[in-house]
This record gives sequence, C-alpha cells and structure tokens, in this order.
Amino acid sequence: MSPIVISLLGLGILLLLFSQGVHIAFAFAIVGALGVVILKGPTAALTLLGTTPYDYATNSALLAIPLFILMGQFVYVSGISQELFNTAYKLVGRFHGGLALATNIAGTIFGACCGVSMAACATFGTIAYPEMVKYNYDRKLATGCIAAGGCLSDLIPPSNAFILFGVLTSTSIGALFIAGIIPGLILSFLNLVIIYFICRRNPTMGPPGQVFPFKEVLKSSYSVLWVLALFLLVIGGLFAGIFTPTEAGSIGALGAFIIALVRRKLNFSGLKSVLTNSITTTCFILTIIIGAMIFSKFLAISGLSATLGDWISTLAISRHVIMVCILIMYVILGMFMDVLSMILLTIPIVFPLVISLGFDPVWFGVMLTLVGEIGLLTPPVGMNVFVVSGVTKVPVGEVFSGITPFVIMMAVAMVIMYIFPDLSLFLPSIMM
Amino acid sequence: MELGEIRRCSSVLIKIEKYIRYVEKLFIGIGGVLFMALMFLGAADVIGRYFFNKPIQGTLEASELMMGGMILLGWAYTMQINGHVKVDLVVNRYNPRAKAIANIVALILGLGLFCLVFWQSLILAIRFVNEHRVFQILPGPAGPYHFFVPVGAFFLCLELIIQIGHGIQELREGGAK
Repeated sequence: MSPIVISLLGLGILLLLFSQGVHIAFAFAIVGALGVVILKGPTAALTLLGTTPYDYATNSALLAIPLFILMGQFVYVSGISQELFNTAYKLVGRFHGGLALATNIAGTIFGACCGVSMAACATFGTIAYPEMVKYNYDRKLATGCIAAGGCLSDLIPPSNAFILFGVLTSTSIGALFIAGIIPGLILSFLNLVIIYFICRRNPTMGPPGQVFPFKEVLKSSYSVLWVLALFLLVIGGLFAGIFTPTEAGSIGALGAFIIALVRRKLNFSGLKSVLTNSITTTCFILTIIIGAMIFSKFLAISGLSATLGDWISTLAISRHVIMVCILIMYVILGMFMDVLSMILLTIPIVFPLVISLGFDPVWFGVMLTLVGEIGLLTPPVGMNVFVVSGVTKVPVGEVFSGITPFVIMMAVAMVIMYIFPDLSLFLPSIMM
Repeated sequence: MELGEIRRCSSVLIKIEKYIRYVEKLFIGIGGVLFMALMFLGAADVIGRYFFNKPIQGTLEASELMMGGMILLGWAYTMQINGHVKVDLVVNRYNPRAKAIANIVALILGLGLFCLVFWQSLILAIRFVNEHRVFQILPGPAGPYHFFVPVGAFFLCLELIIQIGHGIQELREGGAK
C-alpha cells in the first residue's frame, strides 16, 4: 500500500473515531502513532509518543495561550461584562432592537480581552438574555445575536485561534492579532445593521427602549475605560514592538488580575475557580495540540500535502477557484468540529498549498478564523449555539433558526475580506 | 464471592478512587501556583527589561517548565471533569447500551495510548537524569522535570481505569443516561 493511500485511510479512521466519541486529542495521537508504525516502524512511533508530550507542553511558542485564557477569566470575574452591557444599552437602547444592538457592542468590546468565543456567549447569555425577555424581544433574535456577538471574541485580538495558526504556520502572531481588528469591527458593524434592519421592519421583535441623557452614558462608561486600557496595553505593546505575544499575555493577565482586585471582585475561592478553569481549558487545548502534532508527523512522513500540492498545481484552474473550494471545505468541516481541531487537522495539508498558490499567510489566517466562526453557529455541531441554548434554556433548534441572518452577515464579511484583502493586511503592514 | 467480601472490596475501591482523585486535585493546586508564578514572572521580566534594562535571566526556560508542569499534571483532573473535548453528535443518537459501550471503548483506547506514553516517557526521563542533562541558563539538572510526563500519564491512566469501571457499572445497570 502506498504512503498516500495509508494517509487517506488514516484520515478516514480519524474521522470515524471522532464520530464515535473518542476524545479528539486521543484520536489524533492513536491514528498518528499507528500511521508512523506502518510507515516507519514501531520504534519511531514509540519514540514519538515519548517525546511529543514534553516537547509541546513546554513549547515557548504556545505560552501565550494559557496567559490569554487567564486574562479572559480574570476579566470575567471582575464583572466588567455586565457594566459593558449597561453602558452599551444606555448608548443605543433608544433604537429599534436596542438591547440586541447593545449585546453586540458589548460583545465586541469584551472580545478585546477574551479570546474564547464560548466564554463570551456564556457571559452574555447570562447577562443580556434575561433583559431581552423582560422587554419582550423575539427569542430567536435574542439568542441569535448573543451567539453571533460571542463569535467576535475569536476574531478581535487576543484570539487563541490566531495563536495556534501562528505557531503551526510560523506566521507572526502579533501580525495576525492586528490583522483581526478591522475584520472584527466590520463583522460587528454588519451585525448591528442586520439587527436594526430586522427590528425596524418588525418592531415587535425588538422594541426601542428608554432614552438616556448623554451625561448618564458618559458616567456609566467607567468600565469601558478598564477594557480600553487593557486592550491598549496588550495590543498597543504588540503593535509598537515593545513585547512579544507571550509577554503581552503575561502583562494582560496581570492587568486583568489587578483590575479584578481593585474592583474587589476577587476573593480566594474566586481565584481558585479562575485558576482551575484556566488550567483545564489550557490542558484540553494543549493535549489536542500534542495529539495533532503526532498526527501531523504521520502526514508529513506520508508526503500527502506535497502530493496534493503537486496534483493541484497540474490542474488548469484559477487559484481563486481553488481557494473558494478550500473555504467551502472549511465551512463544511466547521459544522462538525471546533475551530482549533479544524486548524490542527487541516493546516499541515492545506497551508503549503495556500502559500504555493501565492496567498498571504496572514490574510489566510483571518479568513480561516472567520470561516471557523461560521462553523460555531451552524448545525449540527454549532458549539456557540449549544452554549447559548444551555445558558438561556431556549431549544437548540430555535437558536439555530435565529442565527441565520448573522451567518449571512458572516458570509458577506468573508466576501468583503476576499475582495479587499488589504482590510486585514493594512494594519500589520504599518506595524513597527 | 460472598456478599460481605464484595462489599469489603467495593469499599476499598471507593477509598482508592477517593485518594487518586485527591492527588489529581492536589496537582491542580500545584498547577494554580505555577500559573500565578508564570504570570508574575513574565510580567516582571517585561517590566525589568523595559523600565530598568534588567531582564530576569532564564525567564523563558522557567516559563516553559511551569507551563509543562501545569498541563501535564492537569491531564487527569481535566479528564475527571470531562474537560477533554469529544464529538458526541453521533453517539448521542445511540440507545443507552450502545452509548455506554462506545464510551467504554473510547476510554480503553485512551488507556492504551497513555500506557504507552507513560512507558516511553519514563524511559526517556530516566535516561535524561542519568545523562545529567542541564538547562541552557537555569541552574540545576533538567532531567527530573521530564518526569512530569510519566507522572501525568500515570494518573491519567488511573483516572481512565476509574471511568472504565464506572462505565461497566453503568452498562450493567442498563446503559448510559
């Protein structure tokens, strides 16, 4: 059997194990090790199993992941998210769909200090949904805008998806962070437009709220200043070249820790819970990375990505057709897997191809994250939808139907990013 | 086996399970301390370098070790709280019995994998200690830190055995809920 057939069989077995409920990290490592046994013999596979966990658990390039997770957890316990929502509501509450608009704005700002979209969904599901129910908002719109607003956390820096993509492809994580800002803001704006449009056409879905004097809006914007300061510290430091992404993570986590202490929101049991949640989240992400590295070693030995690249280069079709096919494949894959697993599974195969076609790696990182966001909202495995459904107790089917306009907006954002790549590449190009 | 003997055995097993899970929790406590140290050390290094032109020597190596300890010792506890991600979509459509069997098979596969990881990483760690490996900047031997992997894998194996036991019990009672 040729190495290519073995690698394709390996991919098939991997997807089979995923579907049968085998833990993603374990499935990656099992198939990868078996593949290496067949291609290189048992000694190579056993050595790989012995060395990979330590090599990647102590890999300095991955240090930023736990630190940004810790930063997000400290911001969460500091109670800033509730105040962000209140401020945003005072600002836009008077418009049609004011509470939904406020949820999206607060989600955008919260994304600037939290890199995990599911955490943002859980946060605003708890804060914004009860308010929207109180003001008779349509349940589909309410849950849809929470799930969509949460997605912005993965695009607006800091983002774990960007860190992982950067590590796997040796692309600058700082450049990826900066490149995500404008696409994140565009997506947020598109969400605001669609919410306003829906509620304007059918005011019963999201009635306008109270008008607040500007003085009160300004007075309540105290919490925004905390987030703004933290964001400027982390992203400003990266942008100015003062520190690396890992150092930005340390400074950001310390800044968020100080904010939580100053606001008197952190006691010993709170700290214990923050640390436990951060460790277990980091642990599952890093274990998947360890498993995926064993699997990608198997793919590298088999030569699958090189063969695929050679084959595609012989096809007489435009590189844009190939890229659109790749993006459609990601949309489909994203329906069944989370963003991180999807990146780990496909990057060793797809990235060399994308580069050989002449696309910019930073731009591709942004597109990949954006397409991964669509996967978080689409059935059957839309993780953000499950989180929102779990928090709000609204049936999953209802949340899925509420998400449709936002998925369309994401597709629009993707088209815009595709036609105008400079929207994501402009800021990194002026980075120091 | 008589009823009394079965009861004695099961009470011993429950005690063993309690102790194992206590150690797993203890590891998370150690991980928490390492996490805070990681944050403070990284920030102190940046502040020292930027404001006083005095970076802390060996920060990167120490940070790598802290992250390694935190993750590898946290393997078992993450498993205990069901923190390792899996795709349940197909399995959730199975009947309770088939679901319980799929769960046990997944756990056995994980156990097999981590037994191999334990074995290989233990050999490697012993070799590194015997070779007296050292760090580039940090003082002291580097070898002992390689024991994070076999220790983490050992407790993950114990946790997987506990969960397989619970899975079998669940299967005997009619399947997964």
